[in-house]
Amino acid sequence: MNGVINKLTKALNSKRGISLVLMGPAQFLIFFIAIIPFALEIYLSFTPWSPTMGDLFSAPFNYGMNYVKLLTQDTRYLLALGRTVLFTVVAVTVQLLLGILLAALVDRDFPGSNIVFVILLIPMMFMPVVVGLVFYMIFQSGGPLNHVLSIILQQNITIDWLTNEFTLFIAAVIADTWHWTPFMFLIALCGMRAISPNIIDAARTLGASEWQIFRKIKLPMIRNVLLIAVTIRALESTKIFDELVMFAGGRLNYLYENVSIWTYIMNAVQNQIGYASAGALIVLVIIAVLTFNVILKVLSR
Amino acid sequence: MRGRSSLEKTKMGPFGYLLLAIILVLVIFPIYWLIITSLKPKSEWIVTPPLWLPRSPTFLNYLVILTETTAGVEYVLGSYVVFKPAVKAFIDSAIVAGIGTILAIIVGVLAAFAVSRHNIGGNSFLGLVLMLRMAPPMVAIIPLTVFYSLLGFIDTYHGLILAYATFTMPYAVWIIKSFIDEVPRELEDSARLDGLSPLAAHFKVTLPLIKGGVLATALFIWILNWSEYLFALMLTRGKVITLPVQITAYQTYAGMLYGPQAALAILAVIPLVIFGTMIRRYLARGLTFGAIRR
Repeated sequence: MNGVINKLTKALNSKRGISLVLMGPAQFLIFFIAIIPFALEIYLSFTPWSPTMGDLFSAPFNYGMNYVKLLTQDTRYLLALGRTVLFTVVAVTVQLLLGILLAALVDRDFPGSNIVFVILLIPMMFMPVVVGLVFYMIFQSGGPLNHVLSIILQQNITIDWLTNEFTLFIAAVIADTWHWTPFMFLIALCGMRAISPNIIDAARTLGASEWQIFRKIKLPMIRNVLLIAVTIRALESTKIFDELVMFAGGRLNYLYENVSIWTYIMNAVQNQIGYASAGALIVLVIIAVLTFNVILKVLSR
Repeated sequence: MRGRSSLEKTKMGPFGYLLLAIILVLVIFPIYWLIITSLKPKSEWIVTPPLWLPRSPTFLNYLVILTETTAGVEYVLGSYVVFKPAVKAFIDSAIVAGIGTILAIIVGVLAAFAVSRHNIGGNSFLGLVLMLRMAPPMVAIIPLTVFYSLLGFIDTYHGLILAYATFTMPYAVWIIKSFIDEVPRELEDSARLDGLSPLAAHFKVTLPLIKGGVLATALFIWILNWSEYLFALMLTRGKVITLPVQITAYQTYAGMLYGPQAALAILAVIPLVIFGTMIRRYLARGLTFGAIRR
């Protein structure tokens, strides 16, 4: 019995044993839940398959027609791509600026700064569905936002925020900004607190103003951590889905159709699995190029 | 050496306080609105102008989602029917998010040791798992739904658990690797001299040193799993029902059940805020895959 255990221990601690024990489970999960379905998706993207056609291999190979159609004719898809990029650019820019502002504000001496810090982080912990729900209520035509606007502007404001594309976009940006500015704030604050107080002190002794200290010392010194935050947020914000579903209020009427919503409709509502796969894989290629060329480098600097 | 007093931070001016106050109001207002909505009886859900404080606050909304007292349901919801009691959603979310997190952490710790200590996989493995996380979940969910239907995994606990473990494991690998990297290899080397095998050295020397970090990573991943919506939406049909799906259900089938919906949202978010606040020192590290380490 002891011999068996000894042998087993020895086998486990051989090079292949270690590799199997440590890496095996991860490889199994990735292979089973990600690689096999991914291969399936590539296959499906070259067919017009939908569940009504019967089993998986009943659809004919269509020589990449899905991709050609998506990229050259499908304006709905291309518009969805454009909306996704627009949303990311606007939302991440707003969040970055607000995050830096907040960090510069909180990186000071004032009573209760610890509690303020904790409160400012809370939105980040909310689940996206609940963020969607809260802002769905706030943006109702009879909701609190219009009420406040009515009081400020001294006239009856009844904007139906969630029923046209432009105001829906604004609403989504505001909801996402509430949700994720804390992340930018957190990263910027981490960066500022890592700056040696001696540097700030030296600048102050030399007569630098607070604005100069912020502009010439703090901002350049947190540039690298902000770069990490911006790349991660930029990729994450392309995925926004839960909030948009909540904004539709249970109807399948998505006025701001980004790529996530487009894929969801194609896949789960219209059951065009092959076509949806192709549309999703185009996005994946874009994200993969970004991940390997930008994010991996930014993260492992 | 200079005194601490000369290194004081900038003082907050009146303008700073004003700005901070405005921002705090904007941050807190949506939370406040959710809370008061959860305390409003049905007659106050939709009134113009909206009520900034409930006229007759009630806990009936909470009672309705937590119990199945039909009388309460009828009182609050009128003719509406609540399809599933929310207690099941809590239990299912706890099972799926809990086990999914534990699985992701176990697999992630092992793989992190492989990458950090043995150079197995290396950058291509790290890139691959990062890709798993960065890829839009939409890409993953289309074929996973098809694949799961073939396997009969749709609407099962193990199906959702495996999906959650796989797609949060990248965080576990990256973050825990960053913790392992901070422990000097020499500690394991000296333990090896005392006769420990490489694997035993990992688990008996390094793992105890990073257990705080592993726990924080687990809570971080649990937060993600507890909040996940798309996978739960696509991979379940009602036998398994998680909280985010349950919250949207009040919106989908039964008209607008603002009160119970807000009440369930509050209850679902409370553990997130508690755990999130507990691990706030690790949030930056978690969300940046261990790249920012303070």
